Amino acid sequence: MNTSEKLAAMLEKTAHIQQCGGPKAIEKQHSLGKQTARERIQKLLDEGTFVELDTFVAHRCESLQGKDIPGDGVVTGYGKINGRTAFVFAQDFTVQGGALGEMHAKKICKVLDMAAQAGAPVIGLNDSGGARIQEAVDALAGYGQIFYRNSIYSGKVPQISVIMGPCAGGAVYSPALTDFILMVEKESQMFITGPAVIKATTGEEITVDELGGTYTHTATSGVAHLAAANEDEALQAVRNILSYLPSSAREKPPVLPYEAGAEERPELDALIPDSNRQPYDIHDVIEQISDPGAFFEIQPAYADNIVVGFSRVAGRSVGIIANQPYSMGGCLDVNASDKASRFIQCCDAFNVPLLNLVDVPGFLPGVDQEFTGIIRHGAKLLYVYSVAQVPKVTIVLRKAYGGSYLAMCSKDLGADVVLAWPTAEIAVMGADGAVNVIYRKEIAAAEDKEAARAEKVKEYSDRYETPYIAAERGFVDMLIRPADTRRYLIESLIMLENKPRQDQVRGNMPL
Amino acid sequence: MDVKARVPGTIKALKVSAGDAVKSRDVVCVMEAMKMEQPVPSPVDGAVKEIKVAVGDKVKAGAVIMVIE
Repeated sequence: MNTSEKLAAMLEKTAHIQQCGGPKAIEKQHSLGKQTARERIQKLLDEGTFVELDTFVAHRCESLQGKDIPGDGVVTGYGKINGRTAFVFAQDFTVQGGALGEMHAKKICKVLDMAAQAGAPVIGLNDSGGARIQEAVDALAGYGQIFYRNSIYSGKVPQISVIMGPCAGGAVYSPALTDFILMVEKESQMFITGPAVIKATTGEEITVDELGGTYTHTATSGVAHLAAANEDEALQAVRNILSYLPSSAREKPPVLPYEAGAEERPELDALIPDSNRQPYDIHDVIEQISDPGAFFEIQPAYADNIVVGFSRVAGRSVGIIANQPYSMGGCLDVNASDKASRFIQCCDAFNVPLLNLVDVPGFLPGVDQEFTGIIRHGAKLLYVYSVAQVPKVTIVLRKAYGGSYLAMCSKDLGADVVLAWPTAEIAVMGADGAVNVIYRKEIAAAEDKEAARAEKVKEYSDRYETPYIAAERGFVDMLIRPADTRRYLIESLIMLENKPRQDQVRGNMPL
Repeated sequence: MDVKARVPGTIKALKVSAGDAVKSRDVVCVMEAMKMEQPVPSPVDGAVKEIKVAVGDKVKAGAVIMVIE
């Protein structure tokens, strides 16, 4: 072969591999409303930036000898997202159902290693029927090698998974170890054991979608973080998430240009209802203190008694953790504790300052909560807040009672700045409960017990259901007019900009 | 579909009667739980078939408040 023939041969081989499973398989993928691995990568990355790796990698499985499996069923490489380097792997369902074999796994491991080396995020687009059974323990080992890398690189570089088809059995654990899982309505499925095995084992009957569909995992199980209506929306959401994060734990998040202007938000002065038994929507507060349109909620449909998500204040990324009075009074329960803890841990790993908006009546009472371990789950919240080394700013809007006040990052848990609105009630317990304990004898001895009780409740409430005791002790740094919240927040974030980190780096363990 | 209490609490107000047409997210009941009034929205569009509670009742988490068809 002369040089030009060698070039032509290489181009021909490349073209063959890049046509994936061939026109018929691609047509089938499209007819299901799904895109191919290569089409998805094009949509995910900035236009024209994709650099492919390992195009020529092929299986070496004896029982599959001579079988053509282009790219070994996965497309890998890197490119840019919002102008910054990002690595990607996309399982190719048109090639043998995207089944994972030894070399398929090696390709994924290589981009995970390269992403960690380069200090850049890695995105996995999962669409695979599972292990390539002919490759037996080699395929199994492949999964293990991927899980190992997902774990050791956790908290080092952002890892995001998009489920764009089936993801079942052991395969679910790679996404589960990454920072965020996105699912696409009507096409994503995740489960450990499918409906057939469940029926054979327990007799329970359930459809694939009910068991492991997008609604199940974003609203019921809390396994996934976001639901997208279609593939393009999911890929855009990945780009959005990354816009708030640094490329690796070694960097700080990008700061967007911001024009300082009128930071006063008069609407906030009247937002808290007169009665502390009236709820309001915490999203209204978040919207007012964020840059316009900057709030990006994570896990909106799961444990909605706590609201978490990324936002920007004066162009700076923040992670917001906020009690939602509109749902279950904003109390903390098992699921809310887990949801918030994982998000806080993620923000801490990637140098995103924490903004805590507190209106919490307490931990949810109940036998069920105690039996499912509210002590163990609530402890996660105390732990991640205490060890988080990023700037921590806490604003008490209204209720902050007992242990739940501490669990929402009080001064004692290392909050750098604690601000409170005049509507704040920072106390060890509510007036009704406290009066029954403190004035039990007085009330019992009174002629008109109810009147005595009501008087004591009012007395206690006026004195203790306020921010003043906490402010007198310095547990609150400043009482502020709600309309000035944004201004104080911006000042706090700038003041804390150079807060040093200990060099100990933590991972983002699934909680 | 059953409208259930998400938390243990007291029924403060019922906003609909049997036979009323409701839309998804319409507030059909107000509970007091965790010292807070909690609007209870309808999960679906439909009509109220049966109300299982009265104002003042204490309900457990998961208790059926009403049935909407």
